[in-house]
Amino acid sequence: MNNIKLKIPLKEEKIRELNAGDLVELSGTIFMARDRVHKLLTEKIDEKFQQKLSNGAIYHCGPIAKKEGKEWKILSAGPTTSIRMEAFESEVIEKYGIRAVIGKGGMKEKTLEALQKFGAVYLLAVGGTAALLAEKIIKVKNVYFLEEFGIPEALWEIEVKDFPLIVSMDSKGNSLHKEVLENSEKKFRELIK
Amino acid sequence: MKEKIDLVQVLVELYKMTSICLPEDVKEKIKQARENENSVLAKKVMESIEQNIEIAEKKQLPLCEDTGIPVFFIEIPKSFNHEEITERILKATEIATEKNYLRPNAVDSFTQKNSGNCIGKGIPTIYFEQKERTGIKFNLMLKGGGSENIGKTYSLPNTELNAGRDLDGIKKCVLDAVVKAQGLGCPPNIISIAVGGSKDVIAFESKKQLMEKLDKENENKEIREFERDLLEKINSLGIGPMGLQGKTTAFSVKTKFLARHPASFFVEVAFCCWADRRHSLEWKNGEAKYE
Repeated sequence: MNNIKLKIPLKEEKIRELNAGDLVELSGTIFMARDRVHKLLTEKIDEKFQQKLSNGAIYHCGPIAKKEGKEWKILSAGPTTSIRMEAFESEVIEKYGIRAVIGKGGMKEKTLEALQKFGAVYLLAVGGTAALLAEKIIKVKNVYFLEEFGIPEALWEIEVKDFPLIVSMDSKGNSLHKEVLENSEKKFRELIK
Repeated sequence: MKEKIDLVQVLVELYKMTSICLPEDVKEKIKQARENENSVLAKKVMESIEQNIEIAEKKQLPLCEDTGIPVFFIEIPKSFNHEEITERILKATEIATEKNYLRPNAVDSFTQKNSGNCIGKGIPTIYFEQKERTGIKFNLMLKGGGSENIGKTYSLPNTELNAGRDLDGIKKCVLDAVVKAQGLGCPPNIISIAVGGSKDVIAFESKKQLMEKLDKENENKEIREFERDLLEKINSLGIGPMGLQGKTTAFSVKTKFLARHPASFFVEVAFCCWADRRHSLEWKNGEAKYE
């Protein structure tokens, strides 16, 4: 299976063609953001970030980062569990024009609906493969809210090249996570009968 | 004569090793799972995991960015002072964070401020056990937040699961926890169960049990049979690596049965992610031996 190449800015048309199960490689400027940044972005819509995030991607990640002179370097950066962002993500997709949400573990109905409505996908990065993924981060362009939130929870603007991901929720209403959940629940009910 | 080295330095080395390198028994299970999986995505996930292990070792970088909460289980001779040891662990934690072997993971739960050095009340977590021995043994685990979050405590009987106070009831609790966890805690997982009468004791024992090697078998034949059957049932759920469907949802199941109060029957289900980072250090007469 060939990996599909994706580039930032993401085009809605191309995103809507993706199917759950596709392997993709993403290149361009993306944003690492998790719990507290999601809360912040939805409490007050920020025009500066609306411009920056439009047709872009958010990566649920709290990296290990090192400062060398004036430059930051990302040493280790795997995904964090996305479900904690479920309450915020649909609004982030809508208000900031996000076309790809990257994380692990998948998300629920509210996000799946937003993916369909606004033309976006959920891309799974393999949890724990932080050294492998950090190799694909070629530059840190900026970091915001570092003082308030600390390294793991700041908003990081980074450039990635051929970032390896799996489409696990597409914009057609398909979710591998929903499928696996339903199948395993069915098996579970048989087992505990 | 060997040069005497400082305990702080040796503990920093233990942190480094635990953050970068997985124990051999875990690597072996990962390899087996990769060979055993046959769907495209499950294979892809296991291959990425193996590649990541190689890259982390080669570049000497933390294999997972979540270096978790450091948990120490220390076996200490009776003559040693706990406070002195704790002081050195804290110093080593600070240095290991500066050197980026640890991510600063201590956030004050009242002010929400990150301490920046991975030190806070309860972090790192340090347990001492006095033993009849000459050197000190430091057993360290870096316990990630994702797998910690999916752990569950059940009180039996549980009508919702139709789970009574017996082995079958315990199995229902564990299967329920695994189904609820799905791919959230980075499966394949290691599942550690403790059954008993007080919540603090089962929480502690289930975590301590995660320090054991994966193939270490329970001494009791019936408990071994219980664990084998449970592991088979867990893997029959088909959740698979990272929850994308597959044969390997768990590598291993470990169970500890403790005494309980007649009124209470608690089941603790603790999870560890595939990145099961644990190593030990034997410190004796100024010399260090790692495991």
